[in-house]
Amino acid sequence: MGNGQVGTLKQATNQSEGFVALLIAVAERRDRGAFSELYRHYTPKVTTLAVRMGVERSGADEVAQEVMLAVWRRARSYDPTRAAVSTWIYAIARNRVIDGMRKQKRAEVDPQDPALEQAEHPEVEALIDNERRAGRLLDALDALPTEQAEVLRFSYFQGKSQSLVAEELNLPLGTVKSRTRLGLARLRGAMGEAP
Amino acid sequence: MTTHHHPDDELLLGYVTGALSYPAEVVMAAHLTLCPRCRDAAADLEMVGGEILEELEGASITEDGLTGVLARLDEPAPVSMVAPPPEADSEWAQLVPAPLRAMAAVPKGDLSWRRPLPWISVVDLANMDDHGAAVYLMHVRAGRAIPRHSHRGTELTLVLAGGMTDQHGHFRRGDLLAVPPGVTHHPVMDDDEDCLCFSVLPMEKCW
Repeated sequence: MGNGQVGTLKQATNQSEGFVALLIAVAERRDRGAFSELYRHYTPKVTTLAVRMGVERSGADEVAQEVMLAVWRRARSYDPTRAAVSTWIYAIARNRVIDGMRKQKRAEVDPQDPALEQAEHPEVEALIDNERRAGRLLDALDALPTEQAEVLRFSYFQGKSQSLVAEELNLPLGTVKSRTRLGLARLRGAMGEAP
Repeated sequence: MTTHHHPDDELLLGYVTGALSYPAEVVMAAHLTLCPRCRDAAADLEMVGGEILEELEGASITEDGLTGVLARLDEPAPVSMVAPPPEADSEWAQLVPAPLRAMAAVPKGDLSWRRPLPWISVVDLANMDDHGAAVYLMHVRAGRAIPRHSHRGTELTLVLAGGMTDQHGHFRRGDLLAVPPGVTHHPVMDDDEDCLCFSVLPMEKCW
């Protein structure tokens, strides 16, 4: 790893730790200043994600504002040991987009479900280090071969099946599948790596 | 309980990115409820989504937009969660994951069972026209079999109780069976316990 990459990683990690602090300030103190900072950073990104996921441009601002309102309302349910801030906001945004496109609400695991099977060995170490893992992941995403990164990004943006991704990128389905598999394997390697 | 048959990357990624149909999404959410290992894998893919969100850029916000949202912070929150119906039968709630109970939309006592064969009872959970798939809970008596069948789309079956065996292996609670289009199978139930499973058959019903 070159020095430049170390610098980027450090920057990304510091920045994401800052977002955790902001979100906790919102959760614990209902801090409007902290919320405004999160709003400034994430609203443009969520708007773009919504458009990429198929929301009409005219409706995307409203979707992003509702996502940010949900960030304010649900801040107390954010658990920094379970997810990075960007992961948590991504899930809220994805669910809001899905809910706007169909009749049924997004189906999710309910942590209070009596049927929930608990992990036998909670991976505490993996969980507490989410922000650092997110930083490593960001680097790994940058380092992915272009064709793997393209297929993966396309899957997330379009929220589409692999056959539709293949159609839109004009690639054989087998190529999309193998690029996805290779790309995910690399990202998993980066996330699981010792710090 | 340890599950041994898991969804592949394509299904997991489809679940995380929102690419699946609602019934397939329910199968995945129900499997994840029963499988801590796949919950971790899905959390990792969600983290990829977070980083992809973090990379995105967009037009800067307007101060009016921020002022508008700040003014709405104290509005009462809309009720957004679809909770499963209140379940009087706590054994049922421990058996059937919440996403599936929410899809069924009624408590256990109000489910309407039909009996296509003397040893098989079925509850249809969704109108096929709504989803392009047959979606049902199926109860099969211990030691009996589901008639040999195949399907045009990929069949997804999640075992909730008991167990079954076909050429793909032995499936118990939490295991996910994904049968590709055109593949014929003939699942036989374990001898010691009735089997309860949740199935999604895209396109058409073949038996």
